[in-house]
Amino acid sequence: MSSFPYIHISCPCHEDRPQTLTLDSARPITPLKSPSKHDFNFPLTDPHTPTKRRTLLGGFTPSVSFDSGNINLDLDEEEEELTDEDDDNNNFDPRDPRSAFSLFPIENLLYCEDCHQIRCPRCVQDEIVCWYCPSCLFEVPSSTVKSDGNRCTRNCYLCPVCTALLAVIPVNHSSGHSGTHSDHPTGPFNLFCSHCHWTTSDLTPPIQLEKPTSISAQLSKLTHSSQDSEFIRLKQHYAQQLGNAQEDFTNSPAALTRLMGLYTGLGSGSGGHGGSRKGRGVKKLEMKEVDRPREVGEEQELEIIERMAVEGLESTTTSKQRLAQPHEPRFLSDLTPTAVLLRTKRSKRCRACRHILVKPESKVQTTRFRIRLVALNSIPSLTIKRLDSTINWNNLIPHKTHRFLLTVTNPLFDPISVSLLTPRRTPGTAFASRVTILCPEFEVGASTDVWDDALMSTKPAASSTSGVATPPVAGSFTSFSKDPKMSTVYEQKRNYTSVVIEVVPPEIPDTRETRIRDERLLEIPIYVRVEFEAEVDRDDEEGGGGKPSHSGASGGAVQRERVEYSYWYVIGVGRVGDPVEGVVASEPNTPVRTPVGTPVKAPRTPAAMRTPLRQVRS
Amino acid sequence: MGPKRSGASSASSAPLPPLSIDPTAVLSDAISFSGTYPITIGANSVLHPRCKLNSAEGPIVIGSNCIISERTQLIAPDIDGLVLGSYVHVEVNCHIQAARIGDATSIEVGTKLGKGSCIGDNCTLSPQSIILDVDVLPAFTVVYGENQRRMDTSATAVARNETMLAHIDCLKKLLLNKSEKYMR
Repeated sequence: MSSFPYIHISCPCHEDRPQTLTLDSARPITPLKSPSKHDFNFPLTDPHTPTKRRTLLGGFTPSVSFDSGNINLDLDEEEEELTDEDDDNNNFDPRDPRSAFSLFPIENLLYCEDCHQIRCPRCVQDEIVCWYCPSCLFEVPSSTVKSDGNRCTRNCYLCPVCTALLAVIPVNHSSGHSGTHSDHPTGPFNLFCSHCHWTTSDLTPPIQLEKPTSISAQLSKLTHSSQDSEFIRLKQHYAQQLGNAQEDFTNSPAALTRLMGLYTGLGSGSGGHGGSRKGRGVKKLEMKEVDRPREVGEEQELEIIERMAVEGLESTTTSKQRLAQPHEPRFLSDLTPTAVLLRTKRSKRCRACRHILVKPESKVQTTRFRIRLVALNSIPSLTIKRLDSTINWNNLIPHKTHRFLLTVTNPLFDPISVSLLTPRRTPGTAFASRVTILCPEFEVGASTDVWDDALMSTKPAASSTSGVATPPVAGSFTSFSKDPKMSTVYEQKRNYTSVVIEVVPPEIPDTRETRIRDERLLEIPIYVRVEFEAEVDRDDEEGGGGKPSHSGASGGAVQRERVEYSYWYVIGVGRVGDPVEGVVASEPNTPVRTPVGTPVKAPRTPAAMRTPLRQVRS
Repeated sequence: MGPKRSGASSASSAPLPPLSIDPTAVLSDAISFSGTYPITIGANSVLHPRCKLNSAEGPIVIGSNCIISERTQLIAPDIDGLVLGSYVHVEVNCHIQAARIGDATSIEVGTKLGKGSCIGDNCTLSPQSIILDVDVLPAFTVVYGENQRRMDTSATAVARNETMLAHIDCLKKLLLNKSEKYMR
């Protein structure tokens, strides 16, 4: 169970249709922008896509709607009820089994600058850059991985008892004093675990190495089990058989004709494939089974039981230890050192446009990245704090109005205007909590230099626009149920803005015992729409191939462009606790908060809301 | 637990418990001594700064060639006191209320020894392990992983003692010896 509060972002990739397809219908195609440029952004690699697009556009229904209470303030009660029902059908439901797979914390998300879309671990493609041993940091070529397996073939071994790294120490510790044993360690060697003090001498029979180097070669001789030798025998046999039949499997013309003959023979129905092969004179494939396959280890069961009776349960392995070993040994004295598993460095690609999102340095020793497009640098991040420190995240009180501080942080170099939209009742549950964002529309300053704020102390006040009143003093919010300032932002600093969100959970029965689903878990979906004016290099746009950079540093053809995108965020606020005496439901429990500033505009077209990023000429 | 939070102010405020410190022991600055029962520190032992020794309930005896690391608390559980053998290595941030700790025992980072527990000779307690109150560990016990136990048959005790001596030699060069400060 994750600890509260948590904030996840829904990656649009979970929607089963490609969501970028409706983009063209939403925006007017201006002669300045060639449509081909936008087509380039779409995942049109699939040959079926054009037909799919037509059907989609024909039967398009809006799948996102918003709390009308925030939008149409003059609606009467019945209509509100109606729209509440609509909300249940159309809003993002964080409890939907499907959405569970699309929710990620922002730290796990990447951002594709070409698609202008966040990319979750499910919609990126991993490519292995290199294999390496995490212990000795040696790179292992992929050909070696194919032939020798994915374990370190050098001197790295793990303790079979506690999985710590083993060290090589001499068996007979030099009785001479400290310092002398370092120059010439002699005699047989042990592998020694410095964590749990397991040594290879604990095995029966004890394993002692002659040299402190090339441990893999020495160990493979010493820890040879009967299962291994039988496996090698079988492998050799079948490799030989396969070698005999090699020409049947290769891409030689003979193999092709044989395959074709196979199918035509079957298709004509004349006698089965054996006959057709014979008729065409292709060499017959003969696979001989191994002579006497021996079953290893089965006859030892009685022996094992007797040994268990003598040595007791303390000498048996745990399931973890057993599963980490090749032949699942029953006794601690049968455990052998396990070679360190190799790890990979991976680059990540956007599945839609094939651009690389993450590319680590191929050198094993460096932890730097050549390319790393994380979502944290491109989309605003939300954080939630308690306004009242007595709120217990794990025990929210039913019918009590909990006030939280929702902070939107802007990583971009342009100021953004943010609209937060949330269904008034949390969707997807019979026990809906009431959620009110006191100031759903506000601005967040640009992520400029930290010192800009200090140098220009008057800037925050000047930057507040018509929709946002000047940030009041934080102390004035202690009792603001009838405060006219309730629709103002709580705090506004250099690149973040905080607003108050009120949550009133209902009484919810504890369902953890009876159901898988935890009804008391309070998750609030918030639709965050971001609009900003970005500098777009027009030459770049006309070229069609280049990416629209936000820097706009090149040339004089820099133009401001209105950019907007939107995502569903899900805030795991906490768990609702047992009802508390004295806190009872009041109807309505909170007065309907009407934003004083401009109300949230309803989306003009559903397509506009579905597009993660829409670029409209201003 | 000791009434003081900051070890640095120990010398100035409350009176020190009766101390008998071997002249070869190295005591750093800012060690917090509290309590009224005597505290004995054996030869060649090293106490890091900001370790805390509380003898309010009983005496504390630290043997020879021991290392007590920073932020570790040694608290005597009762009137019989806390006795550490020789070659005992107590790592950082341990909370020790044991009655006995045997020779050549290594207690790793963040270990908690319950009140009146008894640790045998040559034991190893891996980081963050927890020994319950009045628990008795026989000699050569290794506590590892999720408080699992096994017997140490590696016969590396001699080698580890040598390492301890080298460690103490190194610490003696690095640490400032302020033991006179506590001798008064």
